[in-house]
Amino acid sequence: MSGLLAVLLLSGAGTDGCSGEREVAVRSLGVGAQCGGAGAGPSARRLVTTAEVTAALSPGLGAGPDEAVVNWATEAVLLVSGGQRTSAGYGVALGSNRAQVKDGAAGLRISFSSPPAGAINAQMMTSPCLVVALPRQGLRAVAVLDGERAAATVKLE
Amino acid sequence: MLGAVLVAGLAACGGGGSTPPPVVPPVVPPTTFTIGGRATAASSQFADLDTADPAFPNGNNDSTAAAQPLPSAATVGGWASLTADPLDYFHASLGAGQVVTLVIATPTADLDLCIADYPSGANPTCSLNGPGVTDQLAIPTGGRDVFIEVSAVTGASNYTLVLGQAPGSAQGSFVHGTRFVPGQVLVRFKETAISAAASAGGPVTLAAKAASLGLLPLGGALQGRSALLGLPDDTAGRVQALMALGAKAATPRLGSFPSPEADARRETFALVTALRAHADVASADLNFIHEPAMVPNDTYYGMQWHYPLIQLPQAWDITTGTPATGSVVVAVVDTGVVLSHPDLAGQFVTGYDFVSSVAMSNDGNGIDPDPNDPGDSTVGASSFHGTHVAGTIAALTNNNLGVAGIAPGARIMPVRVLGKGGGTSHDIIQGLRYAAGLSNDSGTLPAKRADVINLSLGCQDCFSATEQAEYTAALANGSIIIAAAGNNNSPLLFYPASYAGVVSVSAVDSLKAKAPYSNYNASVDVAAPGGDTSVDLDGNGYVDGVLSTLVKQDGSTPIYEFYQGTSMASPHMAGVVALMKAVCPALTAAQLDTMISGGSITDQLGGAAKTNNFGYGLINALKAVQAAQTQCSVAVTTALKVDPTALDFGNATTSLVLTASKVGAGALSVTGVTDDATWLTVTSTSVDASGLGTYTATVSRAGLKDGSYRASITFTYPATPNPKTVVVQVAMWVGANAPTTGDTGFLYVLVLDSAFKPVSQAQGRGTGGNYDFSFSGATAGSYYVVAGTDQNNDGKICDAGEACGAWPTMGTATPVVVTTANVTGLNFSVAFGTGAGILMVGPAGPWPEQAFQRLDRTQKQFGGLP
Repeated sequence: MSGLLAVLLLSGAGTDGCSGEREVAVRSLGVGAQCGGAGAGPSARRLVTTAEVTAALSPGLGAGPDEAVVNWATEAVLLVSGGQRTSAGYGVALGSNRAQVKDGAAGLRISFSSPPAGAINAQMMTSPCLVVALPRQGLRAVAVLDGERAAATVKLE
Repeated sequence: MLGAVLVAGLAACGGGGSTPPPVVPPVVPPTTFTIGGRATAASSQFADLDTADPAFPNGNNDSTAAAQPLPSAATVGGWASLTADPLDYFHASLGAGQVVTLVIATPTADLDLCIADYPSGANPTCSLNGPGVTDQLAIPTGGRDVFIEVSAVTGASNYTLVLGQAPGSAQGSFVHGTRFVPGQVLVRFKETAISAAASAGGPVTLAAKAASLGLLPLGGALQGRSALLGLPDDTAGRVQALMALGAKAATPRLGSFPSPEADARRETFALVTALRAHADVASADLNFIHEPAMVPNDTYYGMQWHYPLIQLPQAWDITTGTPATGSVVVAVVDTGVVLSHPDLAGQFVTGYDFVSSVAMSNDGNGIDPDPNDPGDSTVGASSFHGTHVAGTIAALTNNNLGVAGIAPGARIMPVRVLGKGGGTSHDIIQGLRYAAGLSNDSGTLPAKRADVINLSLGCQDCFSATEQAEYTAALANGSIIIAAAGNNNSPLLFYPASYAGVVSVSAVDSLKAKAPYSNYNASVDVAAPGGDTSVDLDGNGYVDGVLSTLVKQDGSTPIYEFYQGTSMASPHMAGVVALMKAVCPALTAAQLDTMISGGSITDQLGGAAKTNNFGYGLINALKAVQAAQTQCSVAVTTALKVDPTALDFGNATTSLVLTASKVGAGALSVTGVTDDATWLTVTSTSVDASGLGTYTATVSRAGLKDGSYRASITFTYPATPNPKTVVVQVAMWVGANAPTTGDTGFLYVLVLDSAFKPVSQAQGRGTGGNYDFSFSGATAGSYYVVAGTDQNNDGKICDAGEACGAWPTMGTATPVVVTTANVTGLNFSVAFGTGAGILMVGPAGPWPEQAFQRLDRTQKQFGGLP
C-alpha cells in the first residue's frame, strides 16, 4: 500500500541461534471482508487459538465454521488487517507464499489493494483481513511488508 | 286544560225544563273538534328499561344477566342514580371502529362508562371522566360483542348512550380490548410547569416528581421526552396515590366485572384520567403493549433489530409487498446477486450484467445476461454486497430460514454494475437505464421496468451533469430511485444520492443516532438503519450491524452476515417504498418526495424537521404504508365488496339480501360462500359466472331458545399468496325481548294553547315505537303539540337526555290551527337528544318552561278518548 512509511525493525537478530538468512513457507488460512477490526490502517496481530482463527474467518451465521487446520506446535498464525475502509473494493492478500527470514525476523509480503482511482464503489464499511500461518521455529518477529516497506510488526516472543 | 274543557263542553250539550214541543232541532255546527296524529320514535331510539318515571313499567337491566339488548346502532335515553339506579347494563354486537358515547345531562352528576367482553365480562375498558364530562370508548378492529355498563358515581342524571359510527371522534378515547401494562402510564410533563416548579424549589428530577405524585419513576425523563410512571405495588400505596390524584377508582367499585385483573385495568384508566387533568401534565396515556400480528419465524429474525426500529412489523400487518395484481419490482443495481441463495429463491425477475470491462468483470467477459455475483475482489475477500442488499429488500420471510426481508412480496431485479474494485459511471448508467426500462447497451429491456431502483453505491464530490440527466430520465420513466448517502462521515455531496430526484439515505445505529461513518449534507432526505458493527448494545453476543443474506468466500455457501454502511440503510428505504407501492401502485417519485418533505412518513430526529444528518428523519414503515394508502384513496386494487357488512335479523325478520361486487379493474371470482350456524342459510339469488350478484341469507328460529344468536357469513375469493375472505357478521334474536324498531319508552304528548300552556295530555308506552294520540273537544284556536319523556321524573319533559319531539318538527314552533273541522294527521318523530335540553322557538322567542310541564297522569292513555 502506497503512502506507508517503511520502518522494518528486526531487532535481536543473530543473538540466539536465529542468525542467517533462510526462507520459510507461508500459507493463507483465509481472507475476509469484515474481519480486520476498526483500525484506521494496516495492522497485524497474532492469533493463538483455533477459536480465534475460526472467529476471524467465519463470522457469518447459518453455516459451519471454516475449520482452518493449524499445527499450533509448529506454526505461528497472524491476522493481517487492511484497516477499516469506507467501501468495498479493498483487499488483503498474500503477496508471496515464501517469507525471507533474517536474524529471526520473517518478512511477510502482503498485497494491499484499493479500488482504482475514480471507481464507484459499494457503500458498505469493510475491514479486509488475511489470516496466515508460518513455521514459528526460530522466529522472534514477523514484519508485514507492503512492497519493501513494513506496514506492521508482530513479536512472536 | 283542554281535556277538561272538552269534557265540559260535551257535558253542556244537555239542558232542563218542561217538555218542549216537538220541534225539528236546528242543525248546529260543531264547536269542538279533534286534534290527532302519531308521534313515532325515530329509528334506532331505545329507552333505558328502568328510569325514575314511575309511570314507566320498569324492567330490569341492573346486572349483566339482565343486560338490555341493543342493536349495533342505537341511541338510548336513560337515567342513573347512585342511590336509586346505580347500574344499567346493555348488550350489543359492535363493529370495528364504532364508538360508544355516554353524554351526561346533569353537569354535577358523574356517570361512568365501561365495556367488557360478552358474555365473559372479561377485559373491561372504562372511561372514567368526571361529572358532566362525556365518556367515550372505541371498538377495535374486528368488532366485539360487549356488555356496556353505565354506572352512577355521584348524583343522578339523565343520560344519552350512543352506539355510533364515528371513529374520528374517538381520538383520545380508550379502545376496548387494547393491551397495556396495568399500573403504568406514559406521561409528558409541561415544560413550562416543570421549569417554573424547579425555579420555585420544586422537583427537578423524574424521581422527585414521581414521588410528589405518589408514583414510581420507571423510565424516561422529566423534561424533553416522556416519562414512564407506575402505581406502587402495595395496595395501600396505590389507593393513596390514586386518592391524592383525585382518581375515583380508589373508591369501592360498583359493577359486575370484579377481578384483580379488572381492578388493575380500571385503576390504570383512572390514573390516566387523573393525570390528564393534572396541571403539570401535557399528556398521559396507557403504556400499550404493541403486538404486531406478524412475527416472522425466520431463524435469525430476532437479530434484525433494524426492523422494529422502523416499525416494520406493524407495517407488515398491512402489506408484505404483494400488490393486488402483478408484483413490485426492486432493482438492485450492485455487484450482482448470488442467485442460488436459498433465502432468495424465487425472488428474482430477469436481470443483467453490465460490467463491461473484462478485467473488472471477474466472470471472463463483458456485459452479459447473467447477473450472478462472481465476487468483486481484486485481492482478498469479495463482499457479495448485492446479495446482502437484496436480502434486506426481499429475503424470503416466515420461511423458517435465515432472515426476513422488508418486502418479501416484492421481486428483485439483479443488475450487476460493480466488479472487481468497483464500477464505472457508464456501466452504472447502463444498469440504471435497463432497470428503468430505457434503451441501453444490452439491447434488451426488462419485461417490466423496476418500480424502485436501489443504488447502494457512489462516489464523493463527483457530480456529473451527464449522469444527472440519466437519473432524470429514469425518474421520468416512472421509477423511484433510492441511493446511499455515503460512508465518508463527510459533509460533501455524494452521488448518485445527491442527484436531484434521487432519495438520499443516511444511516443510523440501533439507538437512532447518526452512524459514525454516515455522510451528512443538505441532500440527505431520510435516515434508515445502517448499523454499527463496532458495538453490541443489545448484548446478544453479536455486533449491531444489519443482518442479511450472504455467501461464504467460496461464492456459494449461504450464510447470513452483519454489515454496516449506508449501503445497508438504502435498501431499508427501498424495501419500505416497495411496501408503499404494493398498496399504492400509482405512487410516484414526486409524491414520495412530498411525503418525505412533509414529514408524514418519518420519525423526526435531530430536533428539527430536517437536518443534514437525518434528512427529514428516520423512515417509519408503518407511517409510510399508511400514507401510501391515503395517497391511493381511490380503490385501485381489486377486492371483493359485500353489502351490507353486517346483518341484523332482529327477532322477526327471516331473510335479508347481500350483494357481492368487486372494486378495482381486475378479474375476481367468488369461490366460496359459507356460514357457521345451523340456523343460518345462504343461497345465491342472482349471480353471474364470477359469483358476483345477490345472495339471500335466511334464518330459522324454530327450536331455538330465547336470546341472542351470532354467526358469520364468509365470502372467499382468490388472492396471492393466500385466498382472501370477506366476513359478514350476523345477529339474530329469538323471543320478545329483542330490540326491534325504535322505542322511546314512556312518552307524554302535550297539547299547548296559544300561550304555550299545556291544556291536555296523552301518555303511555305506545306500540312498536308509535304513539297515536287523539284529543277531542278542541275549540277553534291555535294549539301546539309537543311530546317527550320524563326519565328523571321531574315533571318536565324534554330535559337534556330525554326524548323530545313536536309537530311538525323541532325548532321553530308551528301552531295547529283549529277552525271548523278536525285536525288529524299530525305526525312527527321523537328522539333522544345529546344536547343541553330542547329549544323550541315561538313568535316571542323560546318557549317558556311551562310548555314542557306535563300534567297529572290521570289524563288519557294513547288510543282512547278523554
